[in-house]
Amino acid sequence: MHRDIRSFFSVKKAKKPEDDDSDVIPESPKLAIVNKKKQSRKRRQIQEESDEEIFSPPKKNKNAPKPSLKEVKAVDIFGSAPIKRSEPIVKKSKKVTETGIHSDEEFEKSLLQIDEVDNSLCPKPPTNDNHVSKVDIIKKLKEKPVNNHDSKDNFNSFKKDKESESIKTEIYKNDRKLGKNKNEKKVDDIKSKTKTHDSKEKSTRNLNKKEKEPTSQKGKVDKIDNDQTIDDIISKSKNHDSKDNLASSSYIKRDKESTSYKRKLDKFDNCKNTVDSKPENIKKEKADFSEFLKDDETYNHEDKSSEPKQKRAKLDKSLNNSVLTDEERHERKRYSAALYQKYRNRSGPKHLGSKEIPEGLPNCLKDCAFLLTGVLDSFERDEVVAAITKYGGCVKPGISKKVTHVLAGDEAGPAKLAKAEELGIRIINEDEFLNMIKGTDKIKASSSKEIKKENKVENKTSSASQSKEKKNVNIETNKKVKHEGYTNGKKERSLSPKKVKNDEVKSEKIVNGVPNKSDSVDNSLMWVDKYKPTNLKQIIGQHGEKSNVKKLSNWLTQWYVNRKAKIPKPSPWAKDDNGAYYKAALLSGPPGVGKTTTVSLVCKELGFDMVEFNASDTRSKTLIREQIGELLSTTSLSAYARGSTGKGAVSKKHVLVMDEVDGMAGNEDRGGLQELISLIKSTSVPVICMCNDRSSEKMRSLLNYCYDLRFERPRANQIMCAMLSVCFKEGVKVPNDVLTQLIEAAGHDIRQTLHMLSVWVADSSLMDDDRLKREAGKVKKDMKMGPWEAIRRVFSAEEHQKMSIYDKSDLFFTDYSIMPLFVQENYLNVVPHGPGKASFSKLETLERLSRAADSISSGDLVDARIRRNQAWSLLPIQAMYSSVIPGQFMEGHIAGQIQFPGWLGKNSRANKMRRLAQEIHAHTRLSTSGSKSSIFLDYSTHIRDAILNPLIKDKTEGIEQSLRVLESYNLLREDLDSLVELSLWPEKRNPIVLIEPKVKAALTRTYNKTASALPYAPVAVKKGRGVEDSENSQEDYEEVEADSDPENDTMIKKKKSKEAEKAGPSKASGKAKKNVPSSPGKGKKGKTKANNKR
Amino acid sequence: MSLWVDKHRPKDLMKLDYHKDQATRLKSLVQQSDFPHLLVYGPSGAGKKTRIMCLLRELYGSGAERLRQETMHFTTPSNKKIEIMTVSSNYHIEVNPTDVGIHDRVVIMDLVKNVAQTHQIDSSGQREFKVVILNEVDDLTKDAQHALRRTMEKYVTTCRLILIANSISRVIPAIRSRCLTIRVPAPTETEITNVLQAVCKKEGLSLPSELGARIAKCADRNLRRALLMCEACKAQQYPFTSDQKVPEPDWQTFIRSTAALILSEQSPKKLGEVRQKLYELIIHGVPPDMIFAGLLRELVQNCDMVMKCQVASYAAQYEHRMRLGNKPIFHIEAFVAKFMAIYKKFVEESLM
Repeated sequence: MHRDIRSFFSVKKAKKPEDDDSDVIPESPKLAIVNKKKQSRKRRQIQEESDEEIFSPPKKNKNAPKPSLKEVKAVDIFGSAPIKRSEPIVKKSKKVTETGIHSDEEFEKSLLQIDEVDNSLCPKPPTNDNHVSKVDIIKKLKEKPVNNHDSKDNFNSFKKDKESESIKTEIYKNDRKLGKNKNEKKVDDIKSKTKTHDSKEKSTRNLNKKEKEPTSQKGKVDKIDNDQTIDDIISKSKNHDSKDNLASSSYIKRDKESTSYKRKLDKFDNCKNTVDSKPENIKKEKADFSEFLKDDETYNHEDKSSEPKQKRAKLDKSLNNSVLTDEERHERKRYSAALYQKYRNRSGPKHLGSKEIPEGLPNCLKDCAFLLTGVLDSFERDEVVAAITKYGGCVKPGISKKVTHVLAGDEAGPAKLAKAEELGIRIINEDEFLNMIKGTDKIKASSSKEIKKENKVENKTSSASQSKEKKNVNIETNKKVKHEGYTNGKKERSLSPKKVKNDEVKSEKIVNGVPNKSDSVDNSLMWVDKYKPTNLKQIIGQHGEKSNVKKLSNWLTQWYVNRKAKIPKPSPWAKDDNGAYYKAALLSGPPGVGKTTTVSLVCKELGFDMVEFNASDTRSKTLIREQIGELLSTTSLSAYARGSTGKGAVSKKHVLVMDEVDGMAGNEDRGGLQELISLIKSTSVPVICMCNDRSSEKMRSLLNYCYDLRFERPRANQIMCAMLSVCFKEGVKVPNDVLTQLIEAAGHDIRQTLHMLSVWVADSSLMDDDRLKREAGKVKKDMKMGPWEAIRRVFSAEEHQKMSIYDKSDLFFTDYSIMPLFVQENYLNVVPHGPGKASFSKLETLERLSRAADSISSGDLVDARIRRNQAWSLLPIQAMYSSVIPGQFMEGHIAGQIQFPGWLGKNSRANKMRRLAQEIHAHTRLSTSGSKSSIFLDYSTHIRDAILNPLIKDKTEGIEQSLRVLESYNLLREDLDSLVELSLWPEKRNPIVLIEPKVKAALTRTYNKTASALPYAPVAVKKGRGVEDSENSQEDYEEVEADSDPENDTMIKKKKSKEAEKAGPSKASGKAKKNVPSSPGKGKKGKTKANNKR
Repeated sequence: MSLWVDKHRPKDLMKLDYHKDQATRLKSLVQQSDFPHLLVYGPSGAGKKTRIMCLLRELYGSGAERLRQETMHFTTPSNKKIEIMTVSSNYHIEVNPTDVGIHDRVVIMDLVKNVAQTHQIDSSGQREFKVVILNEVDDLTKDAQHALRRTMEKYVTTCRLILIANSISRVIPAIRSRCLTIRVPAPTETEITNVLQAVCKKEGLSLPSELGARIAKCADRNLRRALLMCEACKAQQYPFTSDQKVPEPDWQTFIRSTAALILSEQSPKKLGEVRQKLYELIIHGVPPDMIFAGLLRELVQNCDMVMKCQVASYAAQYEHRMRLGNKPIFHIEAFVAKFMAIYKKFVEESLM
């Protein structure tokens, strides 16, 4: 059977038909060996001439043009580099199976069994059971511990066995040769039948374009594997060191060279082939049949067996991709960028609401898994998702084998569609989907699983046909195993994978309605405690390499090491920081995602003792300093207390766990956070802090000292898995959609979900559909909503449809101090919708606008009343006036951006102006008579002009005149700027720009020189800005005297200061004057300071 | 070199230019050596303060003109330190309690008590009481006004209060009844023209009577404004010509342009623009009621009689609300929105 090997290599390419096999099979191994010898010799002589013609049937068009089999084989098949690379990965597992199968006793046993069966079996295609058990046997064989004999021995014995066996069964085989072939043909028939199915076209294409499709790649890989394993074993047994990719060719060469080994080799190969391909072939064949038999269990098996193949294919693909040139990558990037842009710009459904989702039978979409892509014509995505879950289907986020239907709309993702086509998933449109619900498409809906199965069959058949050659060559052994499986069918069933078993057990329990477990003790516990994770693996959603659990335990392990090393502070944007720098970790995340659990389990695992402080402890400054500091410097005896003695009993490994640090507030915990930070700075033990809201103001200072670990809410399916296992343990059956809703209702809070689940189990009527929906709505409502979001809802006609008046007034309470301002700022930008989404006429819009404005003005009255009288109970009324009523009148959508209330800025500007005016008013009080508003309205412009006009007209000559005005009104130089600011209106030119800078500078200089006395104590002005308190006593003193002694203080001071002034300019220059402690000088300084401050 | 308005302010009751009867009455009141609390009210620029200063001079002699400024400190019940600038002579103290906003009550209680509790040491030849002048009484909070009631009675022997307000409508009746109310009406346009002529004469300028009349008209019966405008005219162009442009206050122009904006188009977008203009007015310290009045005056010019009433009543309604509320802009805007709706309707109907 020498050519077997060669044909084996060519199989994948060439798809050798059965008739070729039939030639081989009838021959006994001995004969085959003889033949092999001869042929190999022949081949050596022929060398370059192709044997292909002899073996390859006319069918194979593809391989026909090849010049010679030898030359093409290795290079063509292994052609691209990535495939080569993938080999070592696959090799190992294969080897294991190999050795497993070579166990002598096993084999003998199975052979005997086969013999028995052979005697009794009629040459019909084996039944379902047979197939199941086949696989089981193989698994069993694999699983059984195997003594790793020297492979040579193995092979030898195996060979012997086989020879003897084959002699025995020769007759049967000859008899049943025809039958076998028939079987094969039958498979083909069925295949061709399935091809008629519409979606099957793809798989036929698969068959044709093997190289391009992943299935064919799979096949290739399989092939390579086989080659490789053979090569491996050969090299092992013969101490050949070549593990080359071109194994086959090298092997052949060796063959030629070492004739002495040749014979042995041939035999080996034979054995190898049969043994090696056995499991593969069996699996495939089994799959073929079982699929048509629609057995669920085999389905499972098949799934499993096909999985690794898939993986390999994927690997292959990814490797192939990695060889892309830069250009290609760039192209691809650009393409995907363009796609993304398109995705962002895509519009909503074109005919939203034009169709309705029909009523269907409950669970009419059961077992259907949908993938939604693109924009549907008349539904929002959410609606469709809701409908699918309502009818028992599920929606997958990405495309995978589990997806049964792809619901594609406009601008569907091309990648998804391509992938779907590749996997043979049905792509449906909106109408088809509706039909599925209606039931007119019943067959499709109900038999979706079958469709899927069929799809799979096709995938299988493609690979199966590839390996047909192989199969046929080894049909002998196949048969045996099959028969063996048949006899042991019943027995093997019990060995079926756990999952099946679990299902059975589960269903049993459900039927009985009695929980199997007698957890009478545990029953008193809440589920949350009962199913608390006991090791790190059980924490939901924390399995990855980059999960928080991993990070935390790494950090904790490395803590003491890291303290010795000097590590620079990482930049806050550094990714994958391991937190080595930090002495503390801050775990943040929403409640119920497992922060505390994580910490306690990590500590347990790493042998740290937790010293925990949570919100129930007082955590004030003194307490933290005294108690915690003390606690951490001690050693722990907890291990001793648990009964262990010896070295490990006394541990110094503490972790300080500060739970709920964001709750450290109020009088109780005053200064606690600051103390905690200083504790972290000086700590000698790791500190772990936990909080819910890391963005809160209070946490900001702490964040700088902590390794930031953020916990996200686990995904629904992650929680779902855990919940299902809890349900199973509790022996209750909870429908999947209920579970999904529970999770949604709890807002992905695991703890909450468990609580709700236990309530549901206790009485499912408490948690009916509607209620859960409401609950889920509440979760969303409880989420923090900023005023921006709130204001959008206030005016959104869409949102109003599902809101009660309470909901609307709740929007106001997101922040009752800012919401009225937001409403007032933005109501003008709202486009109100009339009935049928048409916008109103201009007049109607204005009418509504004025009503809204009226309501807002009423709201302000309420607001004034609330604040004046502290009548906070009026807030709901204000909510109505300031938010709900305007929202109702202007119901529509906000056109343009939502603006931040301008009132705040304007108000502070108005206040500033008022302050300036008041200052000027105070300064000019003695010479003017008006009130403050007269400064605004009348004086400011005129005084300004009186001062500036001379400067503009006469330049430097006008300075004196200007200063005289300043003096007569007792104004300061700075007041001039205030005046300009006060009197400046938009669209008016600032007169100060007309003054030349030179003149301005001269003015300032002259003013400083000649600073006149002021009737008011400028110190007071300074103090008015709250700059200095040192003058207080003096001022008070003056004040006391003010009434009794008429002639003192200011007036006297004025005289004095005038004297000082007279002295000042004569003695010192303007600069030096600053040092003269005269009151005007002081005042000026103070004033300048004050101004600077402003 | 002060502005004319301050330079030529009369200092004696008898030298006042108008309301001479009232001046005589005040003089006789003072000569009786005692007088009750006074509540002087009248529009801005009518001469209230001038009259009070004249009165004080009549009362205490020229010593009352020697003014000084002081800062006083108070502590609120909530331990907040506040301070307020006062203007005082030996005989009186003048304060503007609204400067400290909502804490005006503390100022009134402490300051009035402080002043009132101290007696004049040398009462011979002096009055037995001191005078406390409170400005802008109508802007006092209700609390402060109530605090005033009792002190007015209690310390009546040692101090007299002179309250100044623009309008007594916002002064509580309890205070009104405790005071002698003196109304200082705004001068008529002829009176203003006369004053302007007199001032110009003093300055050595000749003012064409037409220009004087026009200034008086523009000044809105506010003498202060008239004088300031007159001076501005002089700065702009001298010698005067009778057809010379009278510079209007900027805020008035601004209100006018705002009104024009409202009339030009009625739409939410326009209302947004109007809002910005209103903000600008408020920022520049134009009192909201003047904005209301200014807008209304401009707007009704384009209305027929029915609409005029309607618009005026709405303006009144919203102004009232504004007084009660906190944020004037809300109410002005509501008025503008209302006007836009009415006006738009009116326009559309007239088109049909």
